[in-house]
Amino acid sequence: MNNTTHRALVVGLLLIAGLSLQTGCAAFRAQTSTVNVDTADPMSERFAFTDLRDITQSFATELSASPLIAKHDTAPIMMIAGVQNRTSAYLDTKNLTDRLRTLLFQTGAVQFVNEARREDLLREQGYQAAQATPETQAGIGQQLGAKYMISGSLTEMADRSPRQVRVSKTVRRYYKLTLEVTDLETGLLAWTSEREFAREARQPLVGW
Amino acid sequence: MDTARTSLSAVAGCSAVALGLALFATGCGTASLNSARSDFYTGNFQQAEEALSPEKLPRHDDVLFQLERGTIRQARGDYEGSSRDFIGAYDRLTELETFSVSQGAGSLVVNDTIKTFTGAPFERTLMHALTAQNHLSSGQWDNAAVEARRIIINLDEAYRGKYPDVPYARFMAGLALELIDDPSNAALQYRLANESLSRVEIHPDTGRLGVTRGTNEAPSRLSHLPVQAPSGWNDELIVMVQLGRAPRRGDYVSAGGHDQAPIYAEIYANGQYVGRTFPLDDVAYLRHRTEQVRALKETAKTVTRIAIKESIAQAVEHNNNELAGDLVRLVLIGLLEQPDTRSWETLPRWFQAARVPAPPDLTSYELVIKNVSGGELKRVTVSDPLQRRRNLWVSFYRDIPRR
Repeated sequence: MNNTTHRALVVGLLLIAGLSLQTGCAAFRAQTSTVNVDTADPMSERFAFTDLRDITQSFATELSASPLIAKHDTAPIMMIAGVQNRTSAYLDTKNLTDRLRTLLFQTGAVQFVNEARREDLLREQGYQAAQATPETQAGIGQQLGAKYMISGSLTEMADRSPRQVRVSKTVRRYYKLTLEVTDLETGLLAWTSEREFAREARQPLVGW
Repeated sequence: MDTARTSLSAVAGCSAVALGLALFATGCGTASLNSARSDFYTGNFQQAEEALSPEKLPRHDDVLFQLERGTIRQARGDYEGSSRDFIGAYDRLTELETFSVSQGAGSLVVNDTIKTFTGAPFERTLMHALTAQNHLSSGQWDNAAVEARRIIINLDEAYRGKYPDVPYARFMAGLALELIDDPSNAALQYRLANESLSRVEIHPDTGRLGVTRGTNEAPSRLSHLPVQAPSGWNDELIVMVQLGRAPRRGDYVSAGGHDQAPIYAEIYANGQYVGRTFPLDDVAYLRHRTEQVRALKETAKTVTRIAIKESIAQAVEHNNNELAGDLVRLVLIGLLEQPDTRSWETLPRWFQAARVPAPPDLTSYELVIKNVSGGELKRVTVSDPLQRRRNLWVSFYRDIPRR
């Protein structure tokens, strides 16, 4: 190997080492960090946890300050029937209603029956009736009935850039969450509201 | 002497790279796949699944692995595991929408098997139909509707291009939407499925099937059930039956259309004949139509690839010697120029459906598989999966032909 080749090799190696130092090899290392849920940005055009948080907060604020709640002297009792997922993605809408219930409960404006745990409740009451001392037994037939039912649906519409010669594709998604409160006695809608947003994302169609 | 050594090393280098790429492409995944398929068609589902265990999952054919394993798990009744595979395949396919320059360039020097398997458009659509089937089999109506929407996106003309429609998947989408009380979108899917069929007819408002085209019977007959139901039978049973074995890519099998099949199934509930299945898709026909669309593009690519390989061989020939050029030609064209025949081989050949009256206390029904002249081929009692939502019962049956 002559001197020139040797020098070129050394310079090349130094350059690679310099570049590695610049990036700190971060791209090649596994990394974990905690994300601030209040400030995180969505990573795609899909419905994200940030949307779930924003929308439930907004609904809880609106419903707790609504005339429906104000007209009651005591906090009305509600049950959650669920939100129907009408999108093309697997979404845990129970997560959405759980958070909504938590936020509404924390305002003190609404009371909830635990409809999801009804079977467990009955089992425990049955156990207590047979096994617990009379003074600590939960009374049978004393549960409160809900006056209102919360339900809703999450819908989606998508638009994508047409098939043509291009290096990236653009997808635009529109989401709308409609919530409704139904009077269980009359079957009439007592309150309804909706939130909508659209998001666009561009993805490369050519990669290494 | 130096020239001879250089030419030898050039040939060896070139051949090693190309063979290495080819070996990387085929890897040991093909043996696992073949073993799993063979076990599947001999009814050894456990061994079939083990042959495709996660540690054997090759990155290059991972979509194909998951499709085959999803079908095997479905046949075993592991609907959740099957859905996990199909959804995993979908997620991976989403990643693969980005064209890989390295794989594209590699496939121009070696062959198309070097590219990651993404399946034919109809295979990707049927993947969603079979995932919806898993959800319906376990009563997860909303999840089935998610797959229905994915079917609709896949079959959108702007997305599908000239590839064939898949009426069975449309029917499945219509059913899933009907089950979540979305009748207008269900009717649209039934109508679009109907448009691709030539013999069988689907009534858009009721989703009921029959053969009225080319007969004296009016299509309006389908607004009623095909058989007079006994009094009190206000329920309906929708049975999706999958028969036969799909041809592999590259196999020549004659197929007349989506709704032509030499076999069908009769359905008996509480011992009474209630109707029969109608063919909605033939995988041989879908494959044939797909290959027609692909042919032009693939021929152009093959010609380009052979031209590139010939140029490489001529360059070696020119710079070194004739023998070295011939060796490179032998490796690049003679050994490596092979068609990509990878396909989802555990798929059934015929997808059929029936919508018949059912008693409210249905716990099982009998299926009698018959050939086109009415000869009985097989008789089975089906009690699982059998799910109900309001007055609609949904069930599936896959007949796996043994070798």
